[in-house]
Amino acid sequence: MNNKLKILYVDDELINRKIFEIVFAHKYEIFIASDGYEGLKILEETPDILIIISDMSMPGLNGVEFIKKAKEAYPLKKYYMLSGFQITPEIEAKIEDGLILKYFEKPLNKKEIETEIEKYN
Amino acid sequence: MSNKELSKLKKQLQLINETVSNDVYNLGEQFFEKIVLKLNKALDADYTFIGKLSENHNSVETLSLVNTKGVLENITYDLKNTPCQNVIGQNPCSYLKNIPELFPNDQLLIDMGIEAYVGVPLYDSKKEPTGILVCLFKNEIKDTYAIESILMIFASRASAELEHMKLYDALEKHKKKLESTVEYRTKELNKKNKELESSNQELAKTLESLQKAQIQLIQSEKMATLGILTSGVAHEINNPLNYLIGAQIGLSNYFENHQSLDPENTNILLESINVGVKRISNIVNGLNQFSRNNENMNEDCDIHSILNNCFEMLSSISKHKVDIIKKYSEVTILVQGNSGKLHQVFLNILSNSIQSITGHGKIEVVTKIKEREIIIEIEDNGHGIEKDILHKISDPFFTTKPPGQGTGLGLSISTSIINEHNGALKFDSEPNKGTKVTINLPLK
Repeated sequence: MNNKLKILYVDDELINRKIFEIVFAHKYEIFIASDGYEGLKILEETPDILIIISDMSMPGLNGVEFIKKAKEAYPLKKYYMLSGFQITPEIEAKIEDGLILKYFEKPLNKKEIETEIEKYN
Repeated sequence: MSNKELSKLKKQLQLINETVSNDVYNLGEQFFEKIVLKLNKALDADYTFIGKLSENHNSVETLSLVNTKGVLENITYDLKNTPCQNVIGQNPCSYLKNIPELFPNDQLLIDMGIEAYVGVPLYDSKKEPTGILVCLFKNEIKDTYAIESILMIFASRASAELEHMKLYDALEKHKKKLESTVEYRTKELNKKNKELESSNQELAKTLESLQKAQIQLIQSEKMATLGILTSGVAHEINNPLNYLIGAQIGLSNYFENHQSLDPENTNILLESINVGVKRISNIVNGLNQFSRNNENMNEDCDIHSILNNCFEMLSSISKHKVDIIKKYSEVTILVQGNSGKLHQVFLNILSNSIQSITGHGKIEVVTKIKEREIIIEIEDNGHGIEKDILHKISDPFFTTKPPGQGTGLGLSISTSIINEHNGALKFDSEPNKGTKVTINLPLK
């Protein structure tokens, strides 16, 4: 058993998922899902995941929709977004009402993400 | 024939002569007066007058009334119960004596002390009655034939004159009416013309503003489309950039853990990927900023990063041609406003500067803070702007570029954006030396 912080990363693009795993696997235990529904299933199976980082634009549930559903079930977990889109007023509003803690822009900045996550390690 | 009668006859003949002579024809308005005076004297009458029949044929207005002493004031009298009633429209009529007995209701004649009367009617050329020529006598007269005959001669002449007068009057009236009609119509026409002119001007104005609105609409439509396009493109570029940066991090970690065989080169290669990705990411960001289609005026706009974004976007046309000299203030300069729109302003001014440079040149950008104001100076050594058009360059649609190559809206839009930010835009230029644009903005 390791004591690494557990992170769920949701992205519909395979390479993005692989990259995220490779970049952060040495420090955190990474769970990956290719869409929102899979993400919800993993959260159900693995209750001790604390950090959730999701892409925005995905088939099925988009990032905001997925995080909304997840947060209803698990309100204490920490939710983030990582997207290729520039921040929009809609997203800004989500940050303001506390749904999302922070919005990371692609290409990812390892330091920025680590600094944020480390708050909970 | 007595001497007296002879001299009388002479006098009458002389009168006839004078009347038909040319002199009298040219008397005009005085004609009646002259004739009546002469008749009164020649015929030994106490009163003589020419009267004009009223339109309803009920009364007579004297045109000239004289007695032995001279001209009297004209009068108007009712025809009823007068001897004239028997003359007008009929035949000459004479009464040798007893007028008061014969016309007891003609108070006027009674008051004048008239005893005898000779009157002849006046007709116009259509045989319509028009008036009367009358001699009145205070004493009874012996013979009326000579008087009647002479009056008849003058009556036809007076009739003609009367008719002439009437026609002339009608003509005058008609002329006046025509004149006033023409004047009225001219006024109307002028008014209509003016109305037409002003509505024409209004139409031209409307057309112009419509054209302006249309071009601005096209422009904003373009910007909106560009916004959608770039945000989509940005997303599509950012994802593969994510691959690259992820791969770079992954490889860096790998070499950290497994020792590179040639660390000097692999480090350079890994760093090259890093720098390349960052640069692409900056350009994409810049495009995004520029085309963001919102009216939000509450954004924190970092002037230096906006300028840098613009240089990045313009690097394809400025590279190898223009030296960019940045003399930025050491502190970050923030303006409250709309980041996209400020990008638009600097992009416009900088691209004008770059286009003004033929061959090799330079653009110097200075930013500084003075009290609560930000001053941004953009100076090029391009071809400059002629003095006589310098004041026009911010007018909408003013352009020196060939048709189709510039809308002439760039600086007009830039000016209105700077105004929206409570700032000012100033141009100083000298032909063949260059142009300096100074932008003042309030500090956040």
